[in-house]
Amino acid sequence: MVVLERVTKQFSHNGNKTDVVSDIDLTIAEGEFVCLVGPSGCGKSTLIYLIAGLEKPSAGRILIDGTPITGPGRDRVVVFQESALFPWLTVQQNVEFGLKMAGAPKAEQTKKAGHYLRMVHLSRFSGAYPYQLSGGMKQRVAIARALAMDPKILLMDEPFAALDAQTRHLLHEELIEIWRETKKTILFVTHNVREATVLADRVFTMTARPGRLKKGYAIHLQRPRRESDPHLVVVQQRILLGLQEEIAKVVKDEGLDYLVKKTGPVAVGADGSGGAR
Amino acid sequence: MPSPLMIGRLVVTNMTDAAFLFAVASSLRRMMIGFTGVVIIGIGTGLLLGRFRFLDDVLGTLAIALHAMPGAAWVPLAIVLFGLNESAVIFTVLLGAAGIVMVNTSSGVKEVPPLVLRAAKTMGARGATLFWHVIVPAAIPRIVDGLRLAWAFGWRALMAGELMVGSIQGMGRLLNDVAKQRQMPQLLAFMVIIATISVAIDTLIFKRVEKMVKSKWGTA
Repeated sequence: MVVLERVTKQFSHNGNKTDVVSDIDLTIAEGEFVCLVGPSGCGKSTLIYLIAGLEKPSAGRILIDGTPITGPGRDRVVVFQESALFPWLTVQQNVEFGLKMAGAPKAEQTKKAGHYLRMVHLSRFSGAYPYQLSGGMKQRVAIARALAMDPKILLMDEPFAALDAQTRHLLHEELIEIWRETKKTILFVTHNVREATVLADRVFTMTARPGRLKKGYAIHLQRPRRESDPHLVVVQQRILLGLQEEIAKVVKDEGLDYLVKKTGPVAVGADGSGGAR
Repeated sequence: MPSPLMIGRLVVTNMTDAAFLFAVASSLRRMMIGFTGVVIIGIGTGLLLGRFRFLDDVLGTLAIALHAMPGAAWVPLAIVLFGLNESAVIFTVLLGAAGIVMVNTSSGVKEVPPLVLRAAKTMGARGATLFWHVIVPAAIPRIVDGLRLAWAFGWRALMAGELMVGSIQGMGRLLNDVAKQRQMPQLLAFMVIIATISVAIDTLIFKRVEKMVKSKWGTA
């Protein structure tokens, strides 16, 4: 179980302190799949880094199964937006990396890496280097690399944002499959509302600057889900309506509000991105 | 002016002349010794500077100064230290080329992409393990860049050293000799060969390695 208690993160810029995320209370149950959606710059990634232990909260605390975290730990692994694979290692060696760092015997490294590469259907590419893979394949390797460490919690920071719709769709199915099989707790950050509703048990929206949790939506629909499922579309519309306000804020902050005046309210695409982009 | 054809013919004659090839081999041998030193000292110091902030504060400027000094400017000091001999030339090559490797290696170490570091840290890499398993390999493209430049700098320093030391067997001495005898065609033929050797080694070895590394590391 992951518990965030009044978590705030400030960054100071030339002496000016700004809250990036503010006052976040969130509890994620064991084995739950939670998505965070919000406009760009709302601190979604910061939240991931805080839970990963890569950043320290300015206030509040984060508990994993009741124990406050003090830094990065093998129980929480991040899958980043770009694959962040190590280019000098083969696919197999990349997946073995975490195990190697943990001092696992070579035979175990090989076995586990092989297992998780099969899970993401990339066994054939175990000897390839990252530069020889497509974007989707890289992300699958990154997922295998994270799973190989057998973390309790998988933190995913817009992992599929750079992929084309087709590949993303396939990876959604694959991720759900993996999640069912491994029963990991997943916190998945995205700006894509449709993606969030297809994947998550609960979707949380965030406000823009400072990032606060705005609202939670439970989705009790059976998986695999289709993006165009009428029930999901209703939820998507509700989420988007809530987000529109936040996106308008960003638009104003970024001096793009003249576009809004000229063209009326900003049209929000179903992927959560503002029309002004 | 001698015609290009004539120079071309001389180049071919030289390349089949045993005495000339011996001179080339002596120069290349010196270059290899010097360059080996550059690799060891340049990368070694560069890694230390990149790893330890306090060393970088103290010695970083020195590395940059070393890198800023033209190779030929080391020759007088080398002669004072070692005399008119081979060691002086090797010393010149070493100091003429080590700076760029130090500077590139240390900045390669310091400029590892944050994403790579974050990924490594979440997988439990720390301290020395993080350094050797992640930071050093991530810095390889920069190190290779440095080595390639060092080859070119070292080659210039080698020629400067050999020309000024003068008394030892090698291409520098050959240049001196034909210049004294005012043998323009032969002088030009030697110069063509010197440039060609440098370009050939750069193309056959350094460029290839650099290209391979760049495509693999995705820095191209």
